[in-house]
Amino acid sequence: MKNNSKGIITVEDLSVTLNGITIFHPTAFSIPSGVRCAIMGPNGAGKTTLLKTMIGEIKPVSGRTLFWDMQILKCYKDIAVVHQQKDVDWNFPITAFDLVCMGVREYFNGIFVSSYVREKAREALRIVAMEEISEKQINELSGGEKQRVFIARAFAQEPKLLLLDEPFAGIDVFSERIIANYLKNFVDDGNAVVSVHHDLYTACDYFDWVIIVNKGIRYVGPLSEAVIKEYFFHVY
Amino acid sequence: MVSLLFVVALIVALHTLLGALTVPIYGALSIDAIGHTIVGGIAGGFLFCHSLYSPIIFIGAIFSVFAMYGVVEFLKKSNHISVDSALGIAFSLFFSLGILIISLCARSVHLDLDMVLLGNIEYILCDIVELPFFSISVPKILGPLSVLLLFLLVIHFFFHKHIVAILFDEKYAKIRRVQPWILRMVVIALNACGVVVSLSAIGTIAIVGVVITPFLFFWSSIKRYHLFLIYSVVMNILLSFFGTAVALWLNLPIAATVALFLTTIGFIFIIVRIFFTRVKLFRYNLK
Amino acid sequence: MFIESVLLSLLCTSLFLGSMIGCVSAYCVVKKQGMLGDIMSHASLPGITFAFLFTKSSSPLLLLLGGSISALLSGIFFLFVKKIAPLPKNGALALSLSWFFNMGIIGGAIVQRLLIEGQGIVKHVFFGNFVILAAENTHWYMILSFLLSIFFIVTIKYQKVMIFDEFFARTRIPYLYYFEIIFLCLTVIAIIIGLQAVGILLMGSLIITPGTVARMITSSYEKMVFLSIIVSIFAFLIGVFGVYYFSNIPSGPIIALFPIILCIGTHIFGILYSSITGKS
Repeated sequence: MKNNSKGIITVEDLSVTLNGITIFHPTAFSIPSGVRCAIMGPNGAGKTTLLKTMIGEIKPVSGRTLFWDMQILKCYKDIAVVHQQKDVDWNFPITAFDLVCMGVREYFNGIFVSSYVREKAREALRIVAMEEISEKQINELSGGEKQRVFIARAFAQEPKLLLLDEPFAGIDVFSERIIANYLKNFVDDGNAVVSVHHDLYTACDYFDWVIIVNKGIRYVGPLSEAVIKEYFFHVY
Repeated sequence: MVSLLFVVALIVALHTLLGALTVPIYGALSIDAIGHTIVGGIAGGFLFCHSLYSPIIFIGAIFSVFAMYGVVEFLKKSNHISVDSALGIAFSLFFSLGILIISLCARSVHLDLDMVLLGNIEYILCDIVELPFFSISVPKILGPLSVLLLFLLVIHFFFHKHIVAILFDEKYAKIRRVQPWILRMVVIALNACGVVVSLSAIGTIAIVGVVITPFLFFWSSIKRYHLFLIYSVVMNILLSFFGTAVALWLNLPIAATVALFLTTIGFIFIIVRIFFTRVKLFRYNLK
Repeated sequence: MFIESVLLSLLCTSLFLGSMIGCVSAYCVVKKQGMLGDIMSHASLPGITFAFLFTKSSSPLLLLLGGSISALLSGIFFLFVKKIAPLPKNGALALSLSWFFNMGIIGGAIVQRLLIEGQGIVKHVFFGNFVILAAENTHWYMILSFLLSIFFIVTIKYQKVMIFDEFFARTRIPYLYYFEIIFLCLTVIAIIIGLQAVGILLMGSLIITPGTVARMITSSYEKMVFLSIIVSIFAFLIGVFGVYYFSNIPSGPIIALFPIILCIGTHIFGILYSSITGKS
């Protein structure tokens, strides 16, 4: 069991600068377990930058991010990341099933893909209702189906923390509902979700915790409190 | 004739497998860039050892390719230089330096740039060695080609899953601690070795033709990467045999004719596929 | 006296050639078609070799006409393949390069086999020979380069709209398609004239580097075109003096190296500047 006395994610004195512009001044906050946390803010506020800094893709000027009081290198197996798929080659010869297999922790063990890995992948695909079309090549899927497959890959890892970058962007309502339902069930087991989210109207349905960002962290806490105190109004 | 076809098959298989790794990571023009860069490496190596047969030439060529990619990575840091421009600048730098060195310091030596860029497969068949226990003569080039091909097959077999993860979604592979930089280094080294080894037989532009043809046929139409590799190698070898036959029949340079034949068939295939898909006579599908 | 007149002729040609190449470079770099320039210069080889084969004439104008046709065809071929075939990065460029250049090699082999007189001129196109530019038709190259440069400068505002937002441009410029074809043709003409000095193998770098240097220094398209012209003119002038003092070196590498070194130097300066001042 991991010691999460401070929270599942603890950010300490994090300061980020990109191209000479300070995105975040030294900031500190923590996210507890069992919450679905949205990172929200207007365009260009630094939502994706914050997420990328937390996972180590962007090096901060100062400060650090701890997961269960540990550096990410020690606990990366329990963290699943679903980033925006801008750089993916959709014509690559890979099926949805193979893609989800990649997410299983034991996937890279051995030369061949074991039956255990395949079973885990099938389970993950069942959760996102993609089992029947899993043998299609990735390019044959719709936008929503593609997103579900990438999220299934994250599920297959059996993580304790899910970090998502705009998982609901550009997908159909059916896919959105499936993903949102799963995220709700996911946190009920004591796990956590942190997701960049852009839609104010659906935020209250899908999340219960929020980090409001606009050239700095403006608020971290329960979403209901942010709504009552009209933080969104001030930031947007 | 048999040894010619065998050499052609080996070269085509090697570069098809290499291309399947290189093109998704570095793009299809990187092989052309490597070929041009190697001129600088060979010239630089020659400056050190003043001999065309020294292994320093080989080391210089490999080193220049790594240096070229180092320059590309350095230039990519600028927001105003695209990856393609960085590649164009980097290989032109090494190529120009190579030509200058050759013109200034190696005029008396027969460092034939035509051979470097265009190749001459007919010539390498004359450069033979006798195998000690089998008492048969084989072209010298078969040795290094076979070693490289074997090495590549081993990599594809043992690290297939890692390769697919990196080629498809490098960011995710990094998160899973798969270390894409190792594959990148290996691909650069293998490409440099592959181009240097087969340079005397087949020029770099012909290699580009061999590499790009499987993508014309199978990219976005095949479900699995290992099937893509198998189909690509088999198809490329068969087509290159036809291309060799055409070259011998018309008395044309073999390497250029094979590459032209491959790319022409590939292009015709694309047109036919679009035509038939549009009129819905059949859906081209290897699934 | 003769050498001085040749030198003067080359210097004048450099000015006009440099300005034309600078304009084209700025356009191609911003449009992210620098490598297309490289492919088109390689693709001029079959046009040159087959023009020589069919006409048996070593007249530069005829050869260049052949080269222009094949370079233009390669550009159209690339745009067509890019539209219809799902290929990975630069796949369409690689296909165009491979098809046309290998065709050129075959043409060159046939030329060599037939032992046609005057075939040495075909070899010069690989690495460039500035002296050919001074031999004849220089005044045509200068006039053409001048007109091209003026056309590019006059149509700057159209280029800006076309490159930045093509969809919007289609709504505002009624004959946008024809503009694009015209610019493609002008790029081909610039490449074909320039490759006599620089060579088919290095002409691509001269399409990429002056525009890249200019882009690193300024964000304004007009200033970028102007800077690109300056860099390009200097590259050609250095090529002229290089060939004058080192007659055994082909002019291509000398001309190509200056903007490359300038590009790398500007990048290094940019890094040092931002690390010292903290500004980008």
